[in-house]
Amino acid sequence: MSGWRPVLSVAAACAALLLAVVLHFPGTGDADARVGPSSGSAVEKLEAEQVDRAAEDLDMLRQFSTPARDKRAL
Amino acid sequence: MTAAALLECDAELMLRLREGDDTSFALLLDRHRTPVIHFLYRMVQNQAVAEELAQEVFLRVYRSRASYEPTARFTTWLFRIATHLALNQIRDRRHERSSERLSEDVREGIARQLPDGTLTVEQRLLREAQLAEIRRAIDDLPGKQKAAVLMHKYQEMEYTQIAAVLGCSESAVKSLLFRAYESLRARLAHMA
Repeated sequence: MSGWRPVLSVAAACAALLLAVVLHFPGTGDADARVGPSSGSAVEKLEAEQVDRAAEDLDMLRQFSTPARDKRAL
Repeated sequence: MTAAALLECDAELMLRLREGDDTSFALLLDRHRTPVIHFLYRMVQNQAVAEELAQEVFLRVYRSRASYEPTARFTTWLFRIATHLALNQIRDRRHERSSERLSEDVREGIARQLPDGTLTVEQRLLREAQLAEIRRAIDDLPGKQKAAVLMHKYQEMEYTQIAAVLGCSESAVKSLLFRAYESLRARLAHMA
């Protein structure tokens, strides 16, 4: 049994070394998750236009969804 | 700058373009591109198609520069081309429904109206439904009625100009609008 001690020590040292290597060089992860240059201004412009359109349409809706004056419709 | 001065500037720019000054075209494009796209978007309910059609509108303006005569307002001519292209597009693609894109645009529009998220889920859904309803109601109008409504309500054009764009009389425009608004009221009354 005493002959195994050096082997165990070497194995433990190798495991520790391996662990250190893994921690030092983490996986590359998702190499495809690269964010290219964003067209922020174009997106912002479209968003602003969508808001404007929504506001215009709601205004239209208010103009045309007048309450029914005919009581029979109630 | 007054509206009259702006209109004169449009004609002036076109006359300069006719004489070969391409920078005048860039100024016209910058001034009118957005309202044209907005109009076309509401006509065809598709942003990508609206931008393509807008490109075609200005391409036709540019191609016609040599024969331009300031006999009518520039915007009348512009919207006449836009309306013509949009009505053709609607006629040619009548079988396609853009309801999915309509829904997406409505959702995006709602999401950005109140970025602080003060709308509850129920309010957000209600707002989405309301927007979808008004847009479908307008989209379902016959072509010329829809064009007249969009020019009258969204572009705030006068009857005379709408008549010139549509190539009809002012009384015909009023009749178109009357029928369109009656249809919209009938369809939207339940949302009061």
